[in-house]
Amino acid sequence: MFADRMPIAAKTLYDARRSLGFWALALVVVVAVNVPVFSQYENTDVLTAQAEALPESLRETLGMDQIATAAGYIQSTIFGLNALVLLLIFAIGFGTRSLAGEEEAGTLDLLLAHPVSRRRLVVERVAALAVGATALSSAIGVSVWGFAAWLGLDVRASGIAAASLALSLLATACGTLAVAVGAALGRRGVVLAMTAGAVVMAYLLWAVGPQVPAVNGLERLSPFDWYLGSDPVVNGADRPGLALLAMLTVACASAAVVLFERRDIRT
Amino acid sequence: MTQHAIHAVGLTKDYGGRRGLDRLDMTVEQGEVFGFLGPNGAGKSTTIRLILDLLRPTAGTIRVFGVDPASGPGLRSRIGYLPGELALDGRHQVGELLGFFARLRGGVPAARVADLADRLGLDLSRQVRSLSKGNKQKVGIVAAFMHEPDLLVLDEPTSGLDPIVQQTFLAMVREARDAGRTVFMSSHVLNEVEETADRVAIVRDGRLVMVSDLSSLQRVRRFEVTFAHPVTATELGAPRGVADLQLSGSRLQGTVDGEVDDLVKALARHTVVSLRVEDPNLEELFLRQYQAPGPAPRTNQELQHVR
Repeated sequence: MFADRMPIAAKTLYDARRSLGFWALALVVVVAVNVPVFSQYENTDVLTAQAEALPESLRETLGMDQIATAAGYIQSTIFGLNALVLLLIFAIGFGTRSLAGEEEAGTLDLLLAHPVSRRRLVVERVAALAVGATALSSAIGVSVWGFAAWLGLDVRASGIAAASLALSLLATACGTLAVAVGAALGRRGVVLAMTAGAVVMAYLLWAVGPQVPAVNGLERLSPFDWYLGSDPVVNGADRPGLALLAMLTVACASAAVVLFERRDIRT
Repeated sequence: MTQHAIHAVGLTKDYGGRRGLDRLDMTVEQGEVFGFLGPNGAGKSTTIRLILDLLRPTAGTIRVFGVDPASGPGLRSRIGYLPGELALDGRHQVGELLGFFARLRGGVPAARVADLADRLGLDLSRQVRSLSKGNKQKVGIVAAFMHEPDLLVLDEPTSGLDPIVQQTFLAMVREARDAGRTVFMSSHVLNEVEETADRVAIVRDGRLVMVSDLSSLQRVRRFEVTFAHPVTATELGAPRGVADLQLSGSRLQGTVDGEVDDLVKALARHTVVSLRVEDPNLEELFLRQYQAPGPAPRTNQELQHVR
């Protein structure tokens, strides 16, 4: 049974069950508000006019050049903005609580006094994060698909699935980064600020980088490029991108184990 | 097996400049109840957290049953730990939370948990968040005892417990000892450990200042008397064991070492309005032995004599 094999992950998810429910509800509402907007403005100039207000290269990165198509619209507004921001907030919060939050609350002392290695704690917490992020991005994917089908929009289910999968991997990677920073520092506020800062930098590198000659080309290094760079809703899964996102999670989790095993637990 | 339960050599812990523990040497034998006394901030919790690998020593070594705590989580399955500042996840029912801890240990018979909870008067169906401090402490005690560990490491275990539950707890400690288990118990109050401990160590400012049998510790009490009329020092005489006398008019303060009988009889010659005698005070004990003018610390044998 899962609860016996991974008791910490099972408890973490069980404890988060209500919060996960509210997040899923919020995400479905966001999808429900955004998808119908497209059918309202479909075949008008409103969306293209909005997109043209942006500089050309930014328009391209953010997928605004395709905003007049259903797939392009869903990619840029939902996967590229609203649901993305919400899921990243969820994941970074979850990752921050995993170690730093519990350490500050003082509950980590008794937990680690049990025959639980620090490695195992990190692994189980990242596993719980991955399950949570996957559940929420599935809620996004299923509701996007449902509304698109209901409104008769021209979007492929495989594209939505590809983007949802990539989003769950991106969110897990960002949350695991928070776990790693927490493993090193153990202060909740600092962990939250540093992780959010790093994620915003990565986003800016991807979104604005192409227009800044000094960092031109570096946008390929941003996890956001691995996530949306190949326009998954339009073109389907981007295997190298998915692999890079998964590897980023593994790298952050490994760093978390090494950093956490070396240091004292604060009271 | 002739291994020591706990063996520390030159154990030192620095917290970025502030010294938590300074070259501590200590041996706890298997099967004994070892009281670890000292004022707050003396290094008791630091030592305990080093035993559990929550902290890593700056210098020196510590071995528990011959094993380095940092060598892996296996050792901790033989230890039951009650933190000094117990923080519990409040969102659970008591039974649910204890069930989680039991799973981390690969399972504990539910009957044993129920039995311990019953003895301590702990309701397993209550929400942890809604418990009083004393009841939370009971949850921690059950979590420490439920897997019948070879070594119990208890940091200020009786804090928040009412006197009746304290007695139950002390009985549990004795039973653990009688079953051959080792108990390492910290406290800042002497009374708390004197009922159960075979030996006590006293720490101060991160250093071990003495280890001895409890029977050899001298009992110093501080007292304060108010008389109805001013009394002179000559009228009082020199009751046995009394020291540090401060007389101002009708008020008298001082300390008494050992029995208070002689002091009470001397006071009784005057009209006493109020009399307060504090319990033996650990701090007092250090001060007398290590900071009082005169010869260097007395040995245990000499102390025995004094008593």
